[in-house]
Formats: sequence, C-alpha cells, structure tokens
Amino acid sequence: MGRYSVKRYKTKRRTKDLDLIYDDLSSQDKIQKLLNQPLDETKPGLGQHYCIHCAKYCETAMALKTHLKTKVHKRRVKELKGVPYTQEVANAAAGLNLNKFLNRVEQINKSVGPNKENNEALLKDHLDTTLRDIKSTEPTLPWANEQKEQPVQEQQPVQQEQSNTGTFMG
Amino acid sequence: MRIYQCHFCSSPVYPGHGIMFVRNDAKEFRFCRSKCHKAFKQRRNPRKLKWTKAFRKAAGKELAVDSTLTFAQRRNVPVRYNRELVATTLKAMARIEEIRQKRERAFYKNRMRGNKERDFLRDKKLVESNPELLRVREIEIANAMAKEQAREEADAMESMDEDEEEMEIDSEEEEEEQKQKIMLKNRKRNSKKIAF
Repeated sequence: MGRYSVKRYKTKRRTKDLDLIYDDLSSQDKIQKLLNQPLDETKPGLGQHYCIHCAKYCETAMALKTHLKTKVHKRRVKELKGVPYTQEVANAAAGLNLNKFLNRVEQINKSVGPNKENNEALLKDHLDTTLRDIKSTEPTLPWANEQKEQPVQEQQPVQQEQSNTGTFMG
Repeated sequence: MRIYQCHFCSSPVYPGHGIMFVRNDAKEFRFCRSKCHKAFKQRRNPRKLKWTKAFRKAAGKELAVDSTLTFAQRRNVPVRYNRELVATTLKAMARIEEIRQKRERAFYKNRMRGNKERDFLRDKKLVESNPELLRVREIEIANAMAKEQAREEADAMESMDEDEEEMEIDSEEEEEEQKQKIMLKNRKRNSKKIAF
C-alpha cells in the first residue's frame, strides 16, 4: 500500500468507497454509464478508460489493460466480495436494527450478490474483447483513427473539440 | 437525546463526543474517538481488526444472532404515551436483559469448553516428544562439565604447568566435583578478564 502519508488520507482526497462501488457493480445501467462516459478534459485520458473496481481513470487503453493484470486491481476485486461494510453492519454489531441487517444480508446472498458476479463476468469479457488488440504505440486519443479514415463532417461542438485535439496532438 | 453507534467499532457515541464525517452523497459516519476516525481515513477494514465489534461478531467470539438482540430497533412510528405501556416495557426490558446475559454466559462457556483438556494434551505431547525438558538441570550440569573439560584441554595445550595441577585436583576430589567446578569456572573467568 505504500508509505504512510497524511496527505493521502485527507478526506479532501477521499476516493470512492467500497460500498458505492459495490452498488455500481450490481447495476448494469451504472456499469454502462461508467464505461461510456462523455469526453471530459478534466479527467485523465479524457475519462475514456475507467476501471470500475478501483474507481480510477487510466490515461490510455494500454494502461487500463496492464492495470487489470496488477496485484492492486486483483486485491480490490477480492475486497469487493461479500457484504459491503456500511453503517448498517456497525449498528447490527452493536445490537441495533439487527433484523434489518439480516434481511439485507439475505437479499445480498440471494439476488444482489449473484447479480453482481454475473455483471462482473460480463464486464470482464467485454474488457477482454475490447482491449485484446491494443498496442503500446497507439495514439492516446480515442478518435484519432476515425479522423484518419473520415475527414471532418460533423457538427459545431465536435469540431471545437477537434480543434482542441490538434493542439494536443501537436 | 440520541445515542449513535460508531461507524468503525460500534461503540456508543454520546452527544458531545467523537466526530462526524459526511460523505459527498450525504451519508453520515460517526466515530467515537480519533482512533476510529483515523482508521476509517486509512481505509482499514473493520472486519479485520480484532478490537471492533464487527470482527468479534463475524469471528464467532460473541453472540451474534439471537432473539434477545432484535428488540433494539428504530421503529419510526410515534406512539402515544400510555402509563401502563411504559410500565410493562420497563419490566420487559429488565427481563430481556437478564435473559440476554444468561445466554451470553452460556455462549461463552460453550466457546471455552474443552480448552483445559486441549491445553493439557498439548503440554503432555510436548513433554512426551521432548523428554529432556524434565531433566533440564542435569543436562545443564552435563553440558557445563563438557564445556569445562574442553576448555581445560585447550588450556593444557597452551600452558602445561598450571593445568596439570588442576587435572590432579579434579581426579582426586570426585565427591566435591560440582564445587570444584564452580571454583574452576571462577578462576577461568578471572584469568580471562585479565587476559582481555
């Protein structure tokens, strides 16, 4: 996990919590949304290469591909198994709202958990197929190939973006 | 007055105590002390830390699922005050607490059952497999003697005169062997100190 540093643990820099990621993974709509994000110049790699498990943006598809093979990612996948830790669990451990918690556990074991695992398998297949032919020398911008094949024939906002890309490429 | 539960260790958080963190989706996390707050910020898993309630319940150290534990609940339905109802509730609370304590004691006893025999068997096995443990003193003395003799032999190689006398003493006084040993040892130590 690296060296201890206070800066990393400031709540200002807090990254997504595991229970939220669990929610993301258990709904296909959310996965779809996270995989197909609009271009955002404030995010790394314009927000195009996102790892849902680690709540992390990669710069390139190649980076994402290698990230999926890392120990950090695999550990995260493991951590996301089972019932996520929430305030409900803490309350139940103290003997408050135990029934509510038990219902939730049953629900997760019966429907949410298998659903999430199914989604994870689909997601893995999807990533495997899309990232199979990625080369390390590929240009970082996702529409670079399109630009080569089809000359500019699009609307105003897209053109603006393309002019931006010119500066990026140059 | 409302008493909250610590998000990390599940201990009660009384008004004026602890600290609260509000996540950017408006979820509240209350912590009983800075220890829990720091652990949360470092993303420790409460289920893996032995001092949290979540660990103790998950690892089967405490009574986790029991009918006496299901009464504490937020019901979100206002109830009109009724003297009789309050009286019976108070009575029931005391009785339930009594039952809970009894069950917890039974649970603990059941959990600790067989520990004595297991420990005894383990110790017995240890002694059986290492019989020299029962004769530690004898072995120590034997070892010391062997060491002493080795040293004497080494010294004999260096200075012939002194050691010859010592050897004679050794062979003569077999009865007071141990005392002689100690004396010899002391002499050796002193000589060593001087040498250094």
